[in-house]
Amino acid sequence: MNTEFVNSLPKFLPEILLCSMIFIITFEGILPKIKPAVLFYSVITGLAIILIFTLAQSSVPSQKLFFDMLATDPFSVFLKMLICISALFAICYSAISHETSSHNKNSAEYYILISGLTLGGFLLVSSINLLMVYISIELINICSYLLSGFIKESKRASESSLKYALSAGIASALMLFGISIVFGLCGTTDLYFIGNFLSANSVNSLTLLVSVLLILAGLCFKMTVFPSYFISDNIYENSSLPVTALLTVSGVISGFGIFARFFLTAFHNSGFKWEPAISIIAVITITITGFAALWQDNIKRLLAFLTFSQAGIIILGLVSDNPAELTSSLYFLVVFLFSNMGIFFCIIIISNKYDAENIHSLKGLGSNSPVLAIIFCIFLLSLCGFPLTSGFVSRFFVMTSLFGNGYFWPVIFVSLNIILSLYCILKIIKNIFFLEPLSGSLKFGISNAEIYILLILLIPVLLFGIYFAPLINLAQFSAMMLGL
Amino acid sequence: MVELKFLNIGILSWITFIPLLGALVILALPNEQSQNIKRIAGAAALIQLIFSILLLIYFNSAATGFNTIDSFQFIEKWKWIDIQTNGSIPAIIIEYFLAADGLSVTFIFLTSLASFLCILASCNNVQSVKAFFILFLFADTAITGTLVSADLFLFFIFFSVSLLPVYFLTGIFGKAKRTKTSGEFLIQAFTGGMIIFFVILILFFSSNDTFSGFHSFSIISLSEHKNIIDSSIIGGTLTVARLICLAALFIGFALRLPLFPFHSRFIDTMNELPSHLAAFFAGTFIITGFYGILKMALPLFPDSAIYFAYMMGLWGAINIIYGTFCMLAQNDLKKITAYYSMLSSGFILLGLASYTVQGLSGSVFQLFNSVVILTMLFIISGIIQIKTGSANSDEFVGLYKKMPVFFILAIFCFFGAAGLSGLNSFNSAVLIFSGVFEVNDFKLAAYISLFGIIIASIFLILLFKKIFFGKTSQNTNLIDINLKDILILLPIALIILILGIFPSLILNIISNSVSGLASIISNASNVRITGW
Repeated sequence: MNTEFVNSLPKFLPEILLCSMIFIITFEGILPKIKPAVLFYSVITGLAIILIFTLAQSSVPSQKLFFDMLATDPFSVFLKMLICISALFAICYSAISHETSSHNKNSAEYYILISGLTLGGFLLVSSINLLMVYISIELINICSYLLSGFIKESKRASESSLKYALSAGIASALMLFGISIVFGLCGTTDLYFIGNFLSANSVNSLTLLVSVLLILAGLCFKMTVFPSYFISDNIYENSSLPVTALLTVSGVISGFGIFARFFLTAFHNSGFKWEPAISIIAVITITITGFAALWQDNIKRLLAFLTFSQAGIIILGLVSDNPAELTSSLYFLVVFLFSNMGIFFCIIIISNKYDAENIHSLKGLGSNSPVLAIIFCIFLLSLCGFPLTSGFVSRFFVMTSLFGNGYFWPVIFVSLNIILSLYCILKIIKNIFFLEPLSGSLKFGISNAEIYILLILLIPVLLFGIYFAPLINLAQFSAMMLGL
Repeated sequence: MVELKFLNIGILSWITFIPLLGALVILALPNEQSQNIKRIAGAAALIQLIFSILLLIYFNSAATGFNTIDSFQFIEKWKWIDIQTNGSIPAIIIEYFLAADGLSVTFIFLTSLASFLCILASCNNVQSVKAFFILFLFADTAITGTLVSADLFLFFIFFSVSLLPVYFLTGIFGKAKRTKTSGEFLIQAFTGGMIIFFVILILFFSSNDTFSGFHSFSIISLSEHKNIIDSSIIGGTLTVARLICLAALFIGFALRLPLFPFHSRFIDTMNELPSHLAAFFAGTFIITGFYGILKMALPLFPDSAIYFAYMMGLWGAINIIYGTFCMLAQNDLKKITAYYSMLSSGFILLGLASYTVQGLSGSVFQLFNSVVILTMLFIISGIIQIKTGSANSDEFVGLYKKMPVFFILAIFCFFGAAGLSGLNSFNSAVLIFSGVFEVNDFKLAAYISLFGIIIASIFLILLFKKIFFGKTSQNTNLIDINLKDILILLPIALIILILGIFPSLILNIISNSVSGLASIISNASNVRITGW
């Protein structure tokens, strides 16, 4: 066997473990009369082990793997950990949510799809070759179609699955076309070679622009930013809640990984000014989605729009050629993970008790279940970036990174977005605390398992809003990309 | 430099966080123990009040300067966040930096007094006791924190967090239009907060602390002109950017104050809140808003402040006239009080705009006095509402015969508001006008204001006559106020009276800070807009 291949294997351990976990679950699924609980605990244990092995990689020096297809560096390890954590949460949610846990007989398939999605995310954030990027995106997409249409009885889930398949198909087709033009221009699909080629030779700038725009179509779809966010809101509205939580959070994290790596490596020192273009895309995203969210009455749609806004702000952290300045975005991703997962979990708990499709159905939650209502409220405030929560601190760092690079005007739009998001959040909080409960809604408590998960999510949201230096140091350490 | 510590923690931290501690204790108690909850809330506020009186006693009023290290006392300074330089993102050092000067000490005392009295006043007329007191004490911490923080990041956190409890209290305990009003006020005031934060970021990135070599959030380092980089966006004097920054700060602070054209949300909110809450929040919001203007806007951009002086004075005059005429049209005592807050805010603004020592100290003194009177007026309107069941001043008349003790205490309040000589706000009004008439081009604003103030005084006295000496009302079973209400109203009435006779009690404490501010502004520039 080739020595490079053998040498690469130890660095690839988390992914290998993930693959073996998929096999194990498949076998467990074939076994007759296997209890769903066994499957659940084996997936949780497996993901926890993978998380530990990923963590162990953080001290390993950066290097290229498998003939320059993948890379391990602090940046990818950091994002892999986040993706793994989001998958862990999503699996816990699926066991709690009545929407998905009533489909126990298919749970092996369900877990396989989530693991596949996670594997795709792992590969995507460490890809350094455009072909590898494309393959990983396809792996994620296929798992996502299946997950969003997983509840076969639901017409809306099937609709969202079909919509996802069509729109993601278009996005990947455009992206593949862009990749082929880049290959034609530079003679390679390796991101580092493209970077070297572009800084050494001059190419036709119009062709380069077209190819970058085409690739951007695919990347923007993954990040759910302008111009493709308006397809995603429909998908998120119609999928089941745990799936929506996973797709939004994991999708944005893995999408950001390739977004950042693509621009930082392929256009490193190339003289191609991509920073203003990205800030324009991000500003358009946060402004349009901020305003669009004002008129939403459906909770999932409203949260979907707020998620797109956050994705826009995360991209705004990408304003410099220097990967060290990704710190603000990486910090934001952590906060994004915890506050979004927290909100979705609160909605899952509520929708287990009664239909929580519309914000008016939340009326009187404050008196029906005060603890849940207060925790929900804190997550919401963190989502919109109110001071004293980690959401504000994350926006503060994006603003400082913009200021530090001399971009004054996007800061104004970030501030505007905070205010618009606050307005949307207040619509929900008003229903929770200020209005009388609907007739027929009952008081309910939250179980122990639910309160533990809520606390795991709540503590980072509050702690990183008050004392954020350790996490910033971690993000600074992780903002290192191979070869830059 | 004075230091005061208990259990090795500085007094300012105690004053700020004691209400929060109380709130945390209440959080642990079940909702049924309403009596204990009230006791804990009262105890927390009382300890805060005692500490703030200690602060007044130990405060060394001989310290001179404004926003300098010498002018601040009871300093507590720890590194909160220390983030290294990273690419083109500079090192970010945020400090837990509490410090008090003459202005802070005065208004901390007033805030803690108001919070204690309002907790007393609201003991018997609240439904969900636990939520009420947790939110109230949380607000108390946030507002006190605003008054003591000398690091702008910390200031902003306290400043905007103080909006949240008001939102919830309005929404839960308000009247019919509570849901709409509470949200609108939060959005408006938070927008102001974000504008201020934007300016704070500009200040941060334009500063270079000569001592540490880094950008700084500290108000001390930002106030020194040599720490602002000349080539930065706000370098130099009287550049367009500096003018815009000052205007932005003013608008940012005005968005939470009852100042034209942003007043209506504030007034609606105070009208929706129960009277004992409005008593606390109207006063403290005016305090924090003007404190920000005094502490941040004027000393950091003194040249632009001079430039806009004429417009500021006119803005103050417009507020006085507008507030007065709106007040004339009301017959709800709570709304009258809310519009009174608008006209006194205009009055404070007018005094500030003169930038003379008399005008500035008159303004600060007027801020103190009007908050005292506002608190008392709101509490009185609450008492009348409970006793007569109506807030409409046409419906309760002739209270004098039924409630003589109440009548005596109310005299101080109404005549103080009307500016009768011998009571507190007369002194501040005299100081403001003597400052304003010193400046030549202020004549127009001054005459307009004088006219407005006189009309308002006549109206308040007529109102007083109507409430207490009108023909006897239908309510025959009115009884006089009880001992608790007397205990609430008496301290405020005494303050109104004592400050009328000995204004130097407050003026001595604030005089050095105010003259420091005046000299910062007069050293800055002489260019100003002189009328159109």
